[in-house]
Amino acid sequence: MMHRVIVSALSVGLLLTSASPLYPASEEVVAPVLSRERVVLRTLAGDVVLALFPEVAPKHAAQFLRLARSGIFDSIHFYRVEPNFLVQVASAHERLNPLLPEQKAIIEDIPGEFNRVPHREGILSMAREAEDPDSAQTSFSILLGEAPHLDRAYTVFGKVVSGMDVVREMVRVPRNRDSSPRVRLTVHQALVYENEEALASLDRIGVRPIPVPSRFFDPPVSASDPRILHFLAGGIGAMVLLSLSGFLFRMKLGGSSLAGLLMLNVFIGAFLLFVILAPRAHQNPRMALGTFLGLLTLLKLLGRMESPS
Amino acid sequence: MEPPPVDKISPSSDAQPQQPLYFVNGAVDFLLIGGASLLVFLLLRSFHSGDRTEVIYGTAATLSWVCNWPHFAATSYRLYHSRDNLVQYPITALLIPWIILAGIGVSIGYPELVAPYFVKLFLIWSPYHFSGQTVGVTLIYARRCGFQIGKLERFALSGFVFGTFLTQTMLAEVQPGGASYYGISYPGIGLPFWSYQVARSFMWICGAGLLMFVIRWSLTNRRMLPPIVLLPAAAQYLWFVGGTDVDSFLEFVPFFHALQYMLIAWSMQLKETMDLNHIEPSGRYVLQESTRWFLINVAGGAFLFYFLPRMIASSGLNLTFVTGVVLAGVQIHHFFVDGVIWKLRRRSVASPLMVNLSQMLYRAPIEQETTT
Repeated sequence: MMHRVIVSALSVGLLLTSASPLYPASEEVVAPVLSRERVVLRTLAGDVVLALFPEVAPKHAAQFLRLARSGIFDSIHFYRVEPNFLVQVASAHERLNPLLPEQKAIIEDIPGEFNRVPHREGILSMAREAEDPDSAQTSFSILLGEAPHLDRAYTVFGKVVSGMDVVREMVRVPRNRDSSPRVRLTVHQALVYENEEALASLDRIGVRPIPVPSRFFDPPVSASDPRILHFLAGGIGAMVLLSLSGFLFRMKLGGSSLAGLLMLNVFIGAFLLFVILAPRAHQNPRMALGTFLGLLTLLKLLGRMESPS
Repeated sequence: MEPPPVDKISPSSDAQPQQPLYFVNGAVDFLLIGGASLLVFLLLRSFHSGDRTEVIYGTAATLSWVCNWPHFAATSYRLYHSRDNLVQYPITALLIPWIILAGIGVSIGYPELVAPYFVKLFLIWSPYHFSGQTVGVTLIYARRCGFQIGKLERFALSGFVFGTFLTQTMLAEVQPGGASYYGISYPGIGLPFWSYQVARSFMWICGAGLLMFVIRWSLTNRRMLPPIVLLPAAAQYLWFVGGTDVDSFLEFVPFFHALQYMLIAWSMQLKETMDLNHIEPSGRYVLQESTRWFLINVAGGAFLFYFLPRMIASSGLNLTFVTGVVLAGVQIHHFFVDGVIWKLRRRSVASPLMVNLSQMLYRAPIEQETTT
């Protein structure tokens, strides 16, 4: 009986605490106390260092640290990129390495801790279901600009203390119409450092260009694009060189080797065509099928490239 | 290991086994040729979540060092360790590496324009290459047990095996979205969905045809076809179609492919070295040559897959990206070389492929002279 009374009293107290504003309505908190811990997101584009707001969003801060420490953010990715607004990390359930059972067990709904810290550049804001304020789990956003319409509707729980240039680098990647990036913006790892001093031991990776911004869904590269021209010129040059070599050394090379040279030329030519056609192929099923069957034919031919001479 | 041309395989006239059926013995061959993959699949299916857990990743990575990577090195070793091979295959041995190096260089120079397609080429070629090996291994065992491979049988076998490759690959290529390999986003081709359905139907029709030929052979010869003849095809079906819903299993498929390869390449190595150097069969020879060959290939594999990417990336390039490109290049080179060095129509290749380990362990008994 006593136990129930204590639990009830604590629950009411907790409810009252969570319902009462942490700060007076008129006072806008712009510089909340930062956590001692630092979380480093090692992304495709470099390191982003985060600090949390344990006083204005204690549950979010604690759960975020727990998630990061258990490796749940390793291999997640930013699935939404909207310049001047935000970049958003996808749910951990969609990460590259499937979650381990023990990791899945850690993920739980975090009740909303809507506070008065405004949504502005560098702020971390927890995502949630639109209809359920207490449904935040693992997806969060980094704000790229002011977004007052999100204030007190989404929980602000931390901010980027270093590495906004890395975030801006990610914003540069080509995007689809639904704001998803065309290259996977992977967070390779999330590292937790207990304090600033510990963070100093990290060999920080500064901003670096995204290695392969996929242009696959872009309109096909124009034939006048200098890169295409250079590539084609190089490939055709190699083919000419091989043909010339074959001609010059035709006496020394056996028939099989000459046939091999010819096949090699076919291979290079087919690869040039593949690079040109593949980006266009998905727009036309017949072209896609033709490209695929052409590739299979090439592989079949290559198997007979050179017989013992 | 590419399949030999049909007309170069001479069917056994009396359909009786004329060669030892196994490279080592029934249990070892069964395990290495495909049985291990069946067992692992059953174990994972029965006792594992099917997820790619850390343990699965760790185990697969360890196996890469001791089997997957050495199997690539074994191909290079086989081609380059003898001057005779360089003379036999000058284009493959001397020119292809430069073409591959150029491909790696261009991919690194044009990471957006070329690298995704270089990787894509490798990723389509890889399962095709697996299929070629499966057909090749099946033909070896068929030949060993006297199963006649005519044009129709060959078509049914190849149709089923390559059908599994087509089914899997076409399903992946139906979506234009593509995926990522070492951070290199490569494209999907965007095939029409019906092409996948056609490929799957083709696979099943050929599979039924193959089964029919097997039954006919068994009835004609009044004995069961040794299961090991069909084991590679069954394993291949599991790798590409039947087992694809168990993610953890897929992590080991390259290992199983490498395992098949290593058994046959090892037997070849032992037999060829023994014949070339006129070495008497003995356990000591088998042990020494096996150890030497294995260590060379482990070192070669580590160089190709671990040290080479790091050496190239040390010039300030992104290691993950370079690793993806270099690994694609190394494997394309393997596909090229493998396509030419295993031609069964060459007696020097076909003959050692019919060997049994006991022939390298023990001297053949001296036959008693008989007078009439």
